[in-house]
Amino acid sequence: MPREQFQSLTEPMYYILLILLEECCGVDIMEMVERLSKGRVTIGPGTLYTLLGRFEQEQMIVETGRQGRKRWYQITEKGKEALRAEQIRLKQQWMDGEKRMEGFL
Amino acid sequence: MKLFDKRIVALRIPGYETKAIEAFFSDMAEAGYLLHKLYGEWCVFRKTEPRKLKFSITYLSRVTVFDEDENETSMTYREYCEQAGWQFVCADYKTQVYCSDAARNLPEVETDERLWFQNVKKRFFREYVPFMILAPVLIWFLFWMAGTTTDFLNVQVFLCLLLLCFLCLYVVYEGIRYLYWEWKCRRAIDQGSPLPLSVNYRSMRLFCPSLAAMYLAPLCINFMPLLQEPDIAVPMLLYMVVVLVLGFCLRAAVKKRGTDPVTYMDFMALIVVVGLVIYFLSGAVLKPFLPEKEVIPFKNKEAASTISFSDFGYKPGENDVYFEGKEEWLGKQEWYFGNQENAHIQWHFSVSRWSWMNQLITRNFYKQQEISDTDLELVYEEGTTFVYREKKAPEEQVRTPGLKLYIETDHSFGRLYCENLPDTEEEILQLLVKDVLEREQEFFDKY
Repeated sequence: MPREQFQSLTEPMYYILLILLEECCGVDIMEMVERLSKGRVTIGPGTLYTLLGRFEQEQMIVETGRQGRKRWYQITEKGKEALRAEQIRLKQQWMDGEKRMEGFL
Repeated sequence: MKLFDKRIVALRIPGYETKAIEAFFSDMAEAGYLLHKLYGEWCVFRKTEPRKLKFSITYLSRVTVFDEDENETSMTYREYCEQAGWQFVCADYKTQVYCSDAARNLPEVETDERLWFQNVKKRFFREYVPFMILAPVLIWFLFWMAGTTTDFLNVQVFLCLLLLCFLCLYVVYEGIRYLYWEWKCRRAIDQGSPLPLSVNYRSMRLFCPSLAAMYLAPLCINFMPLLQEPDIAVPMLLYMVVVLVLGFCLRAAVKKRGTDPVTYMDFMALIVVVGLVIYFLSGAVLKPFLPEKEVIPFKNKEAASTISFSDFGYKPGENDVYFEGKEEWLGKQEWYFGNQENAHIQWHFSVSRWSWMNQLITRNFYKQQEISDTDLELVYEEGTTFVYREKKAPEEQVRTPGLKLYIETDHSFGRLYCENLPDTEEEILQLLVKDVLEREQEFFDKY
């Protein structure tokens, strides 16, 4: 079910889409994700390659340029929507947690 | 197997056991053998300095058989891996192998276990499921095919079936192993625990029976029927040898010159075309030097069948009991019809393990053909072998001026009709006796 698989994003998916809000070279994403997450999230080349392929297939990102083997990608409107939905979900989750934990912690 | 500085190991490399294979490659590297090439199940290692390396095996589903070794997909993937610090080792079709120094703290190539699990599932359904469905169908088909002929107990056919059964069982076994592993993984995902990835590679080694089944069974299916025909077997073997030798020479020459990379498909297409040209040319060139065939090709048979009670007008009943449960075990018969220019031959032969059955067949034949004892004259007698010639009626001499011979032994009966053969009647008779006795012996050897 390819449509259902991006209803909620995993952490690597979320970070890849975040990075691609700006045009970025595929191979640089791994480093940028690590930097952005301060080393908390690491994405292996195999995982990155698979995810970029799937995002592209689902038109959540688009290839914007190519130089030799290097490819540049950027997020599409569909990708932004998925990112926004995930952002709302995470926010909601955080707010629910805050509310529930108040008085306990 | 050790060849100078090389070591060749046969391994099964199922997608879900990559951790075990990676562990095996690491252990080999530590022992001083670095993976050099992968050819299907065959791993070629080269002797190097012992090193502590960690390996990563990935399966690129986008690579197809029509792609070159270094194609767009694999090269792009290589770019990603090299950027992350992994070094390319070798690749075989979709399978890519990378390595890095074990001391370097590099992120794994596959960091998302669930994503990796999904890819393995996809691979399994694409590659194994068709085989698993086909395996029982193939077994059933082969047994059905073997059951329709009396050659079931032929040693070659039996061996072929045995290998195929082994291959089919192997495929089914792999499928069951995978399904068990998938079930364990699903459970691990539901519980939020890491996937159960084994690093025990001992069970990955392939041994002689599996390899024999893998490589010999398809060959047996394709070539066994052909190899049983001597006229085809020699050119076929010649063709295979020439194609293989020429293919290796071409591949080596192209590699040595270092010209444009040759794709596997180009290479295969080229050797097949060249092989076919050589095959046809060799047929044409060698024909004048090949020995001429027997004038009476008794050995060629056009049709064969088994003899059952229904051949004598009996309708089998449900409660009938037959020897070894097989009605057709009563005997076997063969027919041959051949024409060479104006020469003509018709040959009918039947054999049974019981002499009473043979007598029944013989009488039945004479009765059907309306031949009485007075129509036959004895022309040859040796032991229990008798040959009769049918006396020619005046009107028949004009219509069918051929020779009709009937041969009777304890267990077989044959009828030969021939016209305009260059051999003398005596020569034909000798050939006939020799052939019948050989066939009879062949029947008793087999059954």
